[in-house]
Amino acid sequence: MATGLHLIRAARREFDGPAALLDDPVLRDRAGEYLTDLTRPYGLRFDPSAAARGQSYGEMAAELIRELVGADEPVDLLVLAFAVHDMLPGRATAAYLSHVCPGTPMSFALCDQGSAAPFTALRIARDHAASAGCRRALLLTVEQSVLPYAAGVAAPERHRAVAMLYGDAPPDGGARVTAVRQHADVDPADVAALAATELRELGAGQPDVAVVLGAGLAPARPTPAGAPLTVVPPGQPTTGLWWTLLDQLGDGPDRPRAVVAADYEPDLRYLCLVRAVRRPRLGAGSADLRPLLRH
Amino acid sequence: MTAIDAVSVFLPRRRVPIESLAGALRLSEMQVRLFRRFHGLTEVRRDPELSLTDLLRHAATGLTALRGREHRVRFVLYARAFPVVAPYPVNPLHDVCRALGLGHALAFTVTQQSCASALTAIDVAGRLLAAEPHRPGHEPLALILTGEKAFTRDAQFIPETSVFSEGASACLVSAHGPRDRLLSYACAQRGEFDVAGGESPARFQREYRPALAAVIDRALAEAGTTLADLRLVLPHNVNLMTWKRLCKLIGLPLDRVLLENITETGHVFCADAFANYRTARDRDLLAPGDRYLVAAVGAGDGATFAAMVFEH
Repeated sequence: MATGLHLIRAARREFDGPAALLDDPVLRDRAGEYLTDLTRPYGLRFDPSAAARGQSYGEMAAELIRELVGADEPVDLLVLAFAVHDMLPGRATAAYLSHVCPGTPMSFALCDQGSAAPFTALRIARDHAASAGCRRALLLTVEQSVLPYAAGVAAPERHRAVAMLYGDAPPDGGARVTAVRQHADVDPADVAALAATELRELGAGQPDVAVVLGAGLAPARPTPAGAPLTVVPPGQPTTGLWWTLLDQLGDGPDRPRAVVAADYEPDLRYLCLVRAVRRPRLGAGSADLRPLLRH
Repeated sequence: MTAIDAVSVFLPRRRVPIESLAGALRLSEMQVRLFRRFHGLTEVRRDPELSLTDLLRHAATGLTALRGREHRVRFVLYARAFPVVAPYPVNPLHDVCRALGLGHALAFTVTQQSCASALTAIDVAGRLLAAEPHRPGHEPLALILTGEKAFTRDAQFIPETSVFSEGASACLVSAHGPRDRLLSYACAQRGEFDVAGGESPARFQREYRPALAAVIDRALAEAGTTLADLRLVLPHNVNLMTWKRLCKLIGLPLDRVLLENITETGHVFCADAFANYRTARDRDLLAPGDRYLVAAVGAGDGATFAAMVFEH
């Protein structure tokens, strides 16, 4: 990926029902013991009936990998980003995903950073892309809707996953990531001004640059007047922004030239932005023409 | 070139003999004897009075090289064997960062390579630092934290294989530091040994040492060096027998491997590499220019084999 980070293709999916692995009584009991011991020191009680409705990021991500990555597209780096844990919390899921992903990529999970985690994963992918030998990077952002204890915060509304395959620029289509910016320790009182400055620097306000604001940033209303704006609905704090961003980057006659997406993680005080420039398609005669987004 | 600037390690003072864990872990007398006599694991460190945040904070405050340089720390990476160690949204990493005056840094956890996550964190930190713009004299730094509690059965022992110690480490990394420069990193993952991967534990046992030998070979080749050139090997502290057999397999003299912490502390999750580095430095085992290898295996569900070669 010597020429920078290009989004080749993406897939997203909403999942119904619980993890199939939880049908195995041994795994279910093992996860239950783990979650019981996890919550006890914090005065919380593990709720097995809630856990039975929870999902496995391994299962969710594996489905998207099968859908998104061709056998002839070996991946070199796989990063699994999440905020809320899944129902098999002790499992080295990323190591398993390496096994089911073409190329058996180097893989790890990135967490404890709320909605900033996928942005950090993208930075890491960009830095890997600059090194020799890295052909493709796969970023998987996942969240499931069950917290099997009284967490005191809302869980995501649905089980959702977004997979984004990055690599060398395809013959046509896709999108080039031209900026990833992250600010730590941003006070809520300062976020509107800082976000407005950053959005302007990244092109927001120009008629062909669309803006996608995450639910964490939307209340700050940092968007320049006149900028085409999409606000991510609340309920999916980690996947929501990327889900909506893909709508803007997909095919269609009224799509913008570039998209700037931004979100604020209010609990951990991160402001993050990404800018992607759509690459035009050459036309229907192109043998490599494939839709960016696979639903 | 990524470099280790400084390392500190914190281990709870309270020593727990392996025998006293038998009841809680439902171990037979024979299994305890296996750990002690066959694997060389005699005691571990556990302290129920210390929280995870305490462990991390003690390790970081012991890192004297950090003092006065907090403003240069752009990234804090928490390398962790167990992916989830606190109920959501409790976040010990960010609690510790705020307490250390590192709230300005980008902090996140690297995990799901089990106990090999620490080596990935070093690699990732180096790449992030190399891409980070800075003014001359203000070279950015990354802080890598490790540290875990033996909070559940899975985090207390690996059946027939190892026993975990509680502990933590803090490691300051720079992109172009002069000391302990990273020459190579090799990593191989075997997700087929995950619960959904379908492969048997028996096959994992058979392939463990050859797989570790293969990543060691790769790391040596990428560093342009050989086993014979290594001054020292810093192992993961899984047990003595694994290293005795691995040394036989690859033709490495056993006295080249720093094994004493296996008996003293057991397996300190992702902190083994740093604990062994600290011991090597404290005992003056590394001279300038010496090359040494760090090995780690993450063998939870799924397996990750990793090795790094450094030049001191």
